[in-house]
Amino acid sequence: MPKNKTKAPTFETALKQLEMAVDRLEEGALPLSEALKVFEEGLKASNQCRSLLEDARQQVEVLIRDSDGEFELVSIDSKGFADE
Amino acid sequence: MEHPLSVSDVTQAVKQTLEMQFPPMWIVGELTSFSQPSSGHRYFTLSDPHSQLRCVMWRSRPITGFRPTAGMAVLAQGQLTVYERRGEYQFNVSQLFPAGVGQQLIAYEKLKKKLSEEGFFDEDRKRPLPKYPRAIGVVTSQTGAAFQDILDVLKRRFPSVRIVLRPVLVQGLDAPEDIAQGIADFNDFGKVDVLIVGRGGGSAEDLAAFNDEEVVRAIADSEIPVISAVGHEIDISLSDLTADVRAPTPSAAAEIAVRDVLEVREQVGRLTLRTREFMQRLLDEYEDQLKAYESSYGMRRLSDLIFQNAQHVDELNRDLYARLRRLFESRLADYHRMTGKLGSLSPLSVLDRGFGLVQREDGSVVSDAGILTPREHLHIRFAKGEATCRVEKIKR
Repeated sequence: MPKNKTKAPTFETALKQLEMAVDRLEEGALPLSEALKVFEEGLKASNQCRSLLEDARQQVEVLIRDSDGEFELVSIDSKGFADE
Repeated sequence: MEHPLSVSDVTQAVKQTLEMQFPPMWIVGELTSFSQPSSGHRYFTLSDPHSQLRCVMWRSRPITGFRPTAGMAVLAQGQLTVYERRGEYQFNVSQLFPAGVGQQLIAYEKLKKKLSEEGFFDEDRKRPLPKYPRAIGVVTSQTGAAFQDILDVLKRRFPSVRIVLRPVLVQGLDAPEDIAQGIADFNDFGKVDVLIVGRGGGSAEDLAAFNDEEVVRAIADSEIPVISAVGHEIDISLSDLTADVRAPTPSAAAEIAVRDVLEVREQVGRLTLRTREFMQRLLDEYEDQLKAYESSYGMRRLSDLIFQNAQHVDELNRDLYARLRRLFESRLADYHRMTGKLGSLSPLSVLDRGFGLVQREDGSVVSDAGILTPREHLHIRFAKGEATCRVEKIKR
C-alpha cells in the first residue's frame, strides 16, 4: 500500500495509541508518574479518534489525468455532479 | 470357441470405453427434431451435412436466454454415453447455447483456465483490506447507480472517508481498456488505500468488460487492494475471482470497505472508559496504600513520637506561661503602685482642692511673679475649665 506522509495522525494510528495505552495501564506495574503519563497519552489519542470520527462531511473528488500525465482532483458533491 | 458374452456385457464394455475415451466436450451443430415431452427432458439431434448425433438434455439442466428451435446453430457441452436399452450412443448435454454466445463462453472458459493456471484466483494471493481506509478509489461510471449506491453507503457508515472517483466506461468495446487504465491510474496516483472496481447489474453482455483479460490483469497487477463489485449476487466475473475481495453488489463493496462509524465510536468509547477506570482504580489503590501506611507500626511509632514531644512542648508551654504570668502579675502590681503614686503627684489633683495652674502664653508654668510683664496674658487652669487674664499689677 502506498505510504502517505502526513503529520496529522490517521485514525488507525490514533486508535492503536489508545489501545496501547490501555494495554500498558492494564498490564500494571507502572509507577504512578508513568501511569499518569500513559493515561494522558491515552486520553489524547482518544480525543484524536473522536475528532476524526466526528467529521461528517463527505468528501468526493474525481481523479483526472491531464495530457502530461499529471493528476488533478476535482471536487464533486455527493450526488456525483461537479461543483462548478 | 471362446466363452460367449452377453449383450449387456458388451454394451457395458462399450459404454465404459466410450466414456473413458471421450471426456466432456463442446460440440457445434445444427439443431434438428427438438422435442420436450411431459417428462420435461429434451430430446434432439445435432447434425451437419454428413452426420447426426442423438442428444438428450435432462430436465434438471436449465436452458437460459433462448428457445431452442429446429434449424438453429447451437453449441452443446456434454458427455458421450451409451443408452443401453437401445444399444445406441448419444450425447448427454449439460449446457446448450446459441452458437454465437457459445463461442464467447468457450473463450471465457479458456481464459478462466489460463488465468487460473497463472494463479490469479489463488487464495494466498489475496491481500487483507485496510481496516480504516482514509481514502477509497472507485473505478466505475460517474452516472451509474453503482457509484451513487457506494456514496450512500459510505455516507451512512463512515462519512469522513475520502472518496475519489475515476470515471470509466463500464460497457462497450472501449470499456476494458478504460477500466484497466483507471486501475493503473490509481496505482500511479497512490493516495487511496483501497479500490472498488465494478458496475451495477446488467445482461451478460453488459458485464462482459469485467471478464476481459486486460481488466483482470490490471486488477491482479494493482498494488492497492481491490474489491470487485460486478452486477448482482449471481454474476461472478473473472474480475470477481481475481480481486482481493469479491462483493456481490456495489453497495456491498462499500459496506466491506469501511467499518460502521457507530461501532468504531463505541470501541473508542470503551477503550477510553477502560483508561479512566484503570486510572481511578490506581488512584484508589494509592489512597488505600496511604491509609495502610498511616496505620502501620512505623507510622504509629512516628505519630507516637510526635505526640510525646507535643506533650513535652505543652508542659514547657505551661511552665513558661506560669512564669510569664507570675512576672506579669508582679509587673502589674508595680504598675499599680507606681500609677497610684503618680496620681497623688499629678498637678491636676491639686486643682481639685481649689488651686489654679497659671501658665504664660508659651505654656510655661508661673511660680515667680517677678518674670511677668504688665499687660501680658496668662492662662489659669482650674479643676474644671480655664480662664485667660491680663496682668494689671506686679508685686515682687
